[in-house]
Amino acid sequence: MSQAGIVTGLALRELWISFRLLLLLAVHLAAGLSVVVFPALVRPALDRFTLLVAAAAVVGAAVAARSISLERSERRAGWLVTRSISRGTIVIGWFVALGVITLAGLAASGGLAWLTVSLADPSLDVVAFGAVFAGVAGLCLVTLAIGLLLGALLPSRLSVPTAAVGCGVVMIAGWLGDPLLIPLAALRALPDLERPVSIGLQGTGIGLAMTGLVLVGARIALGRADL
Amino acid sequence: MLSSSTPDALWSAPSLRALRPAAVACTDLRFGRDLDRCTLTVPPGARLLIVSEPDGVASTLLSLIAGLSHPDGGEIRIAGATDPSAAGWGRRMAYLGPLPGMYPSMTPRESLRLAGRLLGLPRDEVDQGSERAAAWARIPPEAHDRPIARGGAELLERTALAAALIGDPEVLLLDEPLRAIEARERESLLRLPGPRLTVLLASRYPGTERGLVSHVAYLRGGRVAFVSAIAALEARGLSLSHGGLAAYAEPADAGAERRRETATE
Repeated sequence: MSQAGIVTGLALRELWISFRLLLLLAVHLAAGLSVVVFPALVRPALDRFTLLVAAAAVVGAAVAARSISLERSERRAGWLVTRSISRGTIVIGWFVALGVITLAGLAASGGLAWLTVSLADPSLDVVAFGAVFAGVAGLCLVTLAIGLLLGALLPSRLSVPTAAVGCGVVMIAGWLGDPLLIPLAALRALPDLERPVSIGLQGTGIGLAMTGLVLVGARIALGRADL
Repeated sequence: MLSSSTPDALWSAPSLRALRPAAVACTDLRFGRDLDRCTLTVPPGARLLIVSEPDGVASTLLSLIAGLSHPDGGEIRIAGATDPSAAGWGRRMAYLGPLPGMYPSMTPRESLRLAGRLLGLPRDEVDQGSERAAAWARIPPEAHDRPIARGGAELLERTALAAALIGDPEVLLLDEPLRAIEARERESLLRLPGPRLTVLLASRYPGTERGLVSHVAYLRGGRVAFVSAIAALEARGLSLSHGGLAAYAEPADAGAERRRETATE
């Protein structure tokens, strides 16, 4: 197994033991379950679903920040570095672990939501929903990367609130105002599925590109950190 | 137990001795207020105690050498290489600090296997190395499959020592190691065999390390004030203590001052 694979396995183990894995899955599933358990008209149900997905993305950022901060403060990142693991591998390993859990949670949640709303309104297009939801997934990956960046820069007591408040403010601004950032536009488009495919594809692509850029920042930040 | 892929006879060949790089060479290292153009060269096989004034600077120096912090300037070479990756000197050096950074939920057996896998050792070598290292660190057999967190600080430190030894490092950096273990046993655990194993030991309590090292480096003002054999220190009637080292440094400082004055003239 590659070193990145080993670090991903260690990250998944730590997330499992500390219940952070369950927390991440639970907040994403809660979004889907909110549609199933509290049936309503399609639009209000998707509004609620979108808000809860955004909240789950904020929780994801906080979990990512706490995870990497703890790796630093507990000296586990330092131990890995003295075992010839590069700092970039640590960032990638944690991102893959958090990303897999987030995408699994999103897939389950999106599946539940789609099954429910498509029964209520059979005219809804699965491709449109899938495309916009992929854009939202891109947004969730960006928030994870931002969490890792803040965790690499700040101690745990600062990185977690900074990640939560920062991502929360951006989500609320995107929801209430004009979402200039395309991944946020995907989130905004989810309830009414406007221009679904173009917004979805742009959101996914730009989200992945932003994730890559922020991860490079996280790598640089962890590279400069004292472990 | 600790060996290298290079045969001893080859290392000791007179023609190669001149080419043999220092095990650790720090040149003009700068780091915040702690280090100011600090230069230190340690030959292979040396057992060097590093003591500093103030205390934390010796630990800082080892952190820099281990790659845990980045110097503001200067260069670090391990066995002649500057590349800290696995392809460079990453796998030839091990570090054991006061906070070992092990995963407390893992058992010692799991931790040692992980340490071996991270170094890219083949499975059979990992198994054999784990057993040897665990035996050296005297990890009780009944504790092998118990989470480290349940064994307390002593089991944590024994596991960390074993993990550091598993790859047969050529350079071992010890920063206040094994303080949770009883003094006499600690000394026997740290009396590591291997004529070519280079050990750098940072300590705030130099007197407790007397039997483990042959030389001492004293850092003051962010630089190496002197490097001396322990025997030379004791020949002057000075003890291996902060006071003794400071007293030994004074003539060296005076000599350096005289040399600077001569150079200025």
